[in-house]
Amino acid sequence: MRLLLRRLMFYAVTAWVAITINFLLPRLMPGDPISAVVDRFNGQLSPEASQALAAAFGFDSHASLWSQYVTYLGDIFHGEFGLSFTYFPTPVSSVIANSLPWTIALLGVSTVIASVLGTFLGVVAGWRRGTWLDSVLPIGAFLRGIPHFWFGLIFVTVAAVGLGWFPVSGGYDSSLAPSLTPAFLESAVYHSILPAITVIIGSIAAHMLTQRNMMVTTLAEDYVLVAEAKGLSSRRVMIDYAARNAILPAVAGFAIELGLVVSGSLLVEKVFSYPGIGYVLFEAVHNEDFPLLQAILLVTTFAVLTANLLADLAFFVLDPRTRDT
Amino acid sequence: MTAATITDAVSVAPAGRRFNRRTVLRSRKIKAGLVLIGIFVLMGVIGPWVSPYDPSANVAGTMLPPSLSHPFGTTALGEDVLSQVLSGTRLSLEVGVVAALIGETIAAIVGITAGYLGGLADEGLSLLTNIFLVIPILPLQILIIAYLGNTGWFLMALIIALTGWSHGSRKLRAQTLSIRRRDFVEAARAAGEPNWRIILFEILPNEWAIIATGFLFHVLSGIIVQTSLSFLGLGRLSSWSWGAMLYWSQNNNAFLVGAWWWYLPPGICLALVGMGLALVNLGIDEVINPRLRDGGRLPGRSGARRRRGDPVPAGQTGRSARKK
Amino acid sequence: MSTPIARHPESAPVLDIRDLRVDYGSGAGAVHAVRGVDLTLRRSEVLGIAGESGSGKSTLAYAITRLLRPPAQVVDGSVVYHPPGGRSRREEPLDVLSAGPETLRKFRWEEVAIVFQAAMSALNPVLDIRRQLTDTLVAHRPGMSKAARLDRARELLDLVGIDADRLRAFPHQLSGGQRQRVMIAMALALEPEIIIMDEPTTALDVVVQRGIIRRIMELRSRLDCSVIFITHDLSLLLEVADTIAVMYAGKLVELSESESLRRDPRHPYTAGLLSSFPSLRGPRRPLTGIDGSPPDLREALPGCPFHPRCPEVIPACRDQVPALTEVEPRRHVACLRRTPAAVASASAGGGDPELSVGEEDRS
Repeated sequence: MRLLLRRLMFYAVTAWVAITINFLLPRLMPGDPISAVVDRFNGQLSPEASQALAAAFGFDSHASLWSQYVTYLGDIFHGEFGLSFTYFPTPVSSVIANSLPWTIALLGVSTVIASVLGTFLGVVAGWRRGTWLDSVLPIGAFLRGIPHFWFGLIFVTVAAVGLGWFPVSGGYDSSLAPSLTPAFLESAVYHSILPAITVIIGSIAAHMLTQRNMMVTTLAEDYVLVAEAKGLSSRRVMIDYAARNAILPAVAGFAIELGLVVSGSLLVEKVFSYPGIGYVLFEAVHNEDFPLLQAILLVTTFAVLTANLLADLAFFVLDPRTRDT
Repeated sequence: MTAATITDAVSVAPAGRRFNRRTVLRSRKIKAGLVLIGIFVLMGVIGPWVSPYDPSANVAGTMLPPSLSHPFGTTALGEDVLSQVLSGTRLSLEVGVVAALIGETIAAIVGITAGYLGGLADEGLSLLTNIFLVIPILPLQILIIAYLGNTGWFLMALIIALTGWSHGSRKLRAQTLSIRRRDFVEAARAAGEPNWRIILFEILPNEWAIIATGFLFHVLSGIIVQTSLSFLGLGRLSSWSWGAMLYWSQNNNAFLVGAWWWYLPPGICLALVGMGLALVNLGIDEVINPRLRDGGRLPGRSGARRRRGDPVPAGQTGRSARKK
Repeated sequence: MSTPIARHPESAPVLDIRDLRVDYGSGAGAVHAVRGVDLTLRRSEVLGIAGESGSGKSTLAYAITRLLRPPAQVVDGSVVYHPPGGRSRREEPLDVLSAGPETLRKFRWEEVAIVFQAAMSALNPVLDIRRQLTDTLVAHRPGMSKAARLDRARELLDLVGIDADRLRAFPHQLSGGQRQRVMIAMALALEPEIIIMDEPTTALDVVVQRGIIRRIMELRSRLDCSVIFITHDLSLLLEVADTIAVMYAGKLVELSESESLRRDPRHPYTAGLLSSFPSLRGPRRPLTGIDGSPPDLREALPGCPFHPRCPEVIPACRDQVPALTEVEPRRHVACLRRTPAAVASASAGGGDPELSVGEEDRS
């Protein structure tokens, strides 16, 4: 229990650090980006818009640094991220609200599939050495060194442009308007298949490899020998004695992997012009849309922290040793 | 003990195994990996001199598929793709290597100090490490470089190093923790050996494998990050790199029209370098942890003794049964 | 334990081991851990196997149940199990080394159970004690109901003196002594005919050790099973074992009733072992050890494996491999100087001229 509380506190601290980095970064940069940006838009803004913009940076030329900070914190808690330059004058929060669901759908589903499938394959590969799975492993090692978005490039070339099986870009057919109609949903799913496969293939190799190595190490443990000595069935030894212990590090490491996967997948979205956070990210970079960039950092951080928390809970359930600290 | 610590202690290979230099050199994986890496290092060094054309010059028709005079075709501006690949290798590799050197050094300092000193120093440094582990690094890197504007390769490498050191630090801390409790370290401390000597001469030598694999992994991730960042349009796009090529190709709709010769070569280069580094890493892993080597199975002398049906898990006898 | 266990009369063999050889690895660098061991375990007997680290005693035990893992492999010999009848499920003798996977699975734990050393790493950290006690029942007694299994688990814990509320506990929540007792309870689950104990008390402090040994002996007489007790602690075996086998460098050097062994060890190695620790009773005597160190088991080791360290070595020891010979009823020694021929020539010649040579030769 205490362990869980410690983790929660850690996440709170991390979130706070991310927010503070957002606050301090523009102020530490050479050339004072904030004033430059505010000046750029001055005169073109309504007072409310001007304020919203200032809110994005917590910028108030009349206040001290500390009170700016406090105001900034307050704004964040209210979801006030300011206005986006790219989609001016749309508030950043709307931009994110529109694109986040796409990313969660794509990323969330793909990552879960990749880790579950990868872990399962790793368990089997580690258990039955000398099967065809062992020859897949060098391929897995090779795949691990390739960034996800590059698979996207390959798939776009081959499956989309070359064979024409899948749409080349977009999240849905441009003739349809986003709604919950079956036609739209079908189109959305169709458009997400290629990006999803990209993410899955990119991350599955790492999971499989780690899990297989972990399985091999676990199988050398004494309690597995005991299980065999007890004359238990192979299945029972593999599942209850080997796998249940071997996946623990995978669960613990899952959340950290997620941070990496998030980064990689953002670029996949760019390759496919998929309307999620990644695509928005690209636009934001292109337009030097600092409020949006900051918000993306925060949103992705919070998402990863949540995933971490869920993984911690799962670990808590799976490993009895954590319950007594 | 947090979940993270359990992970580290278990997934880290046993320390102190005296490595047989011959085994390292004999490993096929390592040799193959080094060859691959060597090729690209060579390309990086002599690339700009051997490219047939100036990569930024308009030398032919636009968007031409590969041909004898342009083995990788041309871009939308009539530039020779092969020349771009050759010239761009240097920058892509430079950023990766420098980022890894700086990053791994930071990781070593933070990780080993935390593992060795323990107590408050450990708590503080671990907190720092964990924070940077959890925060998605790419958005952070993007933000910083966007603010900085027109960044040269060294600055980019520095940023990558300063944000990406935490993985290595975590592993090194776990390993240092387990080594520190060993008898030979206790003996050194009891003999009054100063801390810095213990770290340099007792602890570091036992961590060579982790540092080596961490460094290589870092190089790879540095190259990937630089490519990704350039792909997004950050950094100085006027200098050629693999990522810059990807950026320009997508910007000119190469993806949509299927001008694969433009964007696939930089990707393939990246993949091959990645494969080389991954192979060397795998090889080092196997040297350190012999159980992972595929030679774990032996042909039974009399076939009747060990039946295929027996669950014969891989690996040697458990700790208690060894050496009796 | 002030009186030794009463000697059992000669009874039927339960386990017959003939010329067992186990190697680690193969080819030139193979380590010959067990080099031709002949051993018989009898009904209701407590057989102790003693030897230092690297003598091959644990390897022997694992070989008997085919639990060796690569690169260890049995390269020759046979292990035959003779079911003693009554409680046992089998009727026919079983050639363990060539048994099929399903036969082997049934053999394990039903007929032979093992109590492992270092119970912390031998217990699965993520399963509670109840599960670890009952999963053998699930595997071997398919007809048993869940309630019946739970009852049996409670019964087993009671046998070893652990409170039933520990059923829901996990291994890390128990003390070292409790864990070891759980291991013993686990071994008793199916009431096996043979229990192999591999250093069951080495990792525990002496007080706990006592209690556990006492419990083991009680259980043994209650269940009337045979026990193979493996340890480096010869003094322990002198108290609990009926027969003691002393191993050195993968071979048996002495096999005797424990009482005779204690009074009059025949093999120089055994004598050396016995004089390496003091006895609580009896006159004070100086402690001697054994010079030198165990041999490299990758070597072929010509002659007697102990000869480089033996205080009584003669030139013949270097070339001739002494066979384990019965020099008296129930006393076997593998030593050229102790076999009847050597003894006869010594007493006949009134002084063996080779004796004095041996003293100088030892270098």
